[in-house]
Amino acid sequence: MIAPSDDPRRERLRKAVALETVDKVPVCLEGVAWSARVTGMTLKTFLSDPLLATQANIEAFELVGNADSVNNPTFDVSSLSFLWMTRVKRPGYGGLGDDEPWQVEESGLMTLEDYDAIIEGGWAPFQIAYLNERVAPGKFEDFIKFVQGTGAVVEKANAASMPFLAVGVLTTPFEFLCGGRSFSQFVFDLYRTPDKVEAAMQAMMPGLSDAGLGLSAAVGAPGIWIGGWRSASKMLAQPLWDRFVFPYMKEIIAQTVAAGITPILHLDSDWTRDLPRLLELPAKTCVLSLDSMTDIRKAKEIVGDHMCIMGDVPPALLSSGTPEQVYDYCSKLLTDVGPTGLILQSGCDIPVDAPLANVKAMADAAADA
Amino acid sequence: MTDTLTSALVEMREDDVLVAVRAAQAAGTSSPDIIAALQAGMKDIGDKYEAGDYFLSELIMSAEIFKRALEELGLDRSAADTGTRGTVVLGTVHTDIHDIGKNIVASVLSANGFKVVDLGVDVPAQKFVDAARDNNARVIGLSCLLTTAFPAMQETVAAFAAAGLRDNVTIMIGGGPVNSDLARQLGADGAGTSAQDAVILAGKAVEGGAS
Repeated sequence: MIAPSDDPRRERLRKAVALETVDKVPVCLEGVAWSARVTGMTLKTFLSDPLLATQANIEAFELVGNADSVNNPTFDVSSLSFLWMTRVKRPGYGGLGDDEPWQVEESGLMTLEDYDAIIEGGWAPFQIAYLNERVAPGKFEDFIKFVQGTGAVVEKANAASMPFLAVGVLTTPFEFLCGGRSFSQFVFDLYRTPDKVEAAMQAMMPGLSDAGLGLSAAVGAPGIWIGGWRSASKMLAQPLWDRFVFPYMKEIIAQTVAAGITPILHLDSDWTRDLPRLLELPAKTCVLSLDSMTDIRKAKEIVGDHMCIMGDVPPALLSSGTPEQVYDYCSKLLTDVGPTGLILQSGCDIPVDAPLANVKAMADAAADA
Repeated sequence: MTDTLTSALVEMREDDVLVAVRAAQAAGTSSPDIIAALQAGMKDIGDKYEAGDYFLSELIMSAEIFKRALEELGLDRSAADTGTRGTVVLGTVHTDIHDIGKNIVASVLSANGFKVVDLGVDVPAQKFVDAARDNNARVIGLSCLLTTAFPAMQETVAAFAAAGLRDNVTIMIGGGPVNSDLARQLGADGAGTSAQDAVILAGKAVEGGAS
């Protein structure tokens, strides 16, 4: 959890999560690739060393000037392969230029038979073999190496006095399997072989979140992401969501809270339909991070007295709008959703091509409110 | 009998759809009539999606069942997308290789009676123009996931203007970061964030309103 702090920025974040009165709505930067671009670092270089990525984050944070934290102090694309069980094209390799954004190659590397392997042998052995044999040789070790650098990353962020919210990402069995199978194929599986998918999900749960929670506790991270991308309400029929998504998400959130860590529900796409279900989660404990596809005002209405809301400046606005348009959007958001229980942030990542002036306009809107 | 087929499709009862297709065939129902019953189901599913009763999983699963029903008839998808509602040229624009959303849109458009010319990913602007001309397409679908692909979308719109085809086609953009403001900014005619949005936009383009 976010501990009380003499640092006014950290204290704002703590109060926002606890739904207490704040002197200013805190602003969080979620700008992994953007931090590289805005500081003149190629994405290839950014991804070559977690500490270089941290350095870019620190410099970008300082360029904006009046933000309160970053979301994550570093990043590596191996984490995307780990979460989505798929290949990711890296800048500088496989035809991508040194400064072109990484791109997920979802090619359905997981087979129908793999559900049996997961049920019989458990998740961890399957995932390690899968990453190394199907995604790329040494892919699992790449990810572990990245994770092992977390302590140094946190030390660097702290030395630069850059608050951050999380260093890890958890997700549900749905997201791992859906990424591996590819979205359409996984939907077919949910209709055609639901019992087998469910058995695999249940086999995955024991220990699924232990490493992420353990790492976060070890380095003193206040929160951890719990990601939802393809499991959004808009993606799934209600019975499928009720059976294959929410029970697992709820359990992972319970484990996270029990570990003393703030769950940051990073929910991309549209979750509006199921906002009332979030009232089943612990009060004044979670952060609901929205990407602009979920109706954030409806979220405020339904769960605003129950959990902190984070978001949701649209990526297209940050990328292609003017500073005035960004400022106006944020000002309205601060009025409608804040000031209590709001952390102002981009909807998902700040786009790599967002002008600095637009990001500064977001932070300025909170400072001026 | 075709009512049974339609309702089985709307309720995602895949095995029942296939049984009903075989039964209809055995009873002498023509393939076009069977396809029409299936497309009535797809229309109903689209309406339910619009009403907020159905979600993307139903759009995808119904398109898959539709495809299997055609296979049961000994036909492929082209039997249903012979341009009865028009041709859509679709692709992920240059510099972007993401294709999940684009593939879903292709399936759902096809199952809703459009002929789809799928150009794949990382598609140069001129290739969209050439495909539109070659296939006499009236609707163009540009997909992206990355905001860095916005310039490529704009270049593609401009390429249609340069070729003198801009007034002949409706250009719709789709993908996670797009919206109608962006469509206006890029010079496109509309934006969608779901496969059903594409069906509606394409329907309006070729039929002047109704989807």
